[in-house]
Amino acid sequence: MTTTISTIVKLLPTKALPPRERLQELAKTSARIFSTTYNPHNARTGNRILRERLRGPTLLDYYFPGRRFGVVDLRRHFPMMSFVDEDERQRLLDVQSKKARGKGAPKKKKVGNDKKKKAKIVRGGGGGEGYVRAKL
Amino acid sequence: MFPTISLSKALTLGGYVNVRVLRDHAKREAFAAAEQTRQALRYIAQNTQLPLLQRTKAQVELALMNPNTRRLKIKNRCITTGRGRGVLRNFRICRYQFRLLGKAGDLPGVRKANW
Repeated sequence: MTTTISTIVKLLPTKALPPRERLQELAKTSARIFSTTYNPHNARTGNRILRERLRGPTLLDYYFPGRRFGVVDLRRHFPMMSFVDEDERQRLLDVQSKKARGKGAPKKKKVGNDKKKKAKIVRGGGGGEGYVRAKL
Repeated sequence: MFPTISLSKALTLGGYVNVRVLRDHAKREAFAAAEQTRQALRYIAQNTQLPLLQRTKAQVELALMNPNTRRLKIKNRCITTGRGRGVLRNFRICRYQFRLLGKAGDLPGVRKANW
């Protein structure tokens, strides 16, 4: 909060005003006592920016960070029980029916060397720890 | 060649994920990481009581920062489809998903207008 001369003037009981210097002094003293800002010329101090809250955490929350709980998690947490993955079961059924109709995936080509190309992910760099530089 | 962008290694998102959503999320991470630096530089640049050279230097440094650390690069996308346009801010979903979910009664307080 800032203490300006006009606010002090409003609080005065009489209409006869003390000299301007006196009022400024009063504003300064009151600012010192109540530890408010004394800025008579309204200079831009940039305090507005310091007062802003950080928006990063809110913006990071937008896409629901955190893993979705699925059948895999259920199986891991309750190994004594059996769970049916409905999507996976349906997929396997579809593959089976396609194969039966002769419309399955073609057989893999036999290649001499088994060296497979790995997807290029450049790790590290300037991103700091825990970050991957990926082409997006 | 392609612009690269840093993405958290332990990335887990609960909503619909496609490359555009990932890209946007990477920008969010970049913004969150650089936000304090950015605010400090802004404070120096806008404080008229500091020497002009210091303020100008802060301005230049701000301008040279990675553009992906800017807040305006972040765009709210639909969390169920990843669509970038027609997203209702309060529900975080696009207009068609809003219609579907609203009709199904999945959005609290939303119902079809009738008069």
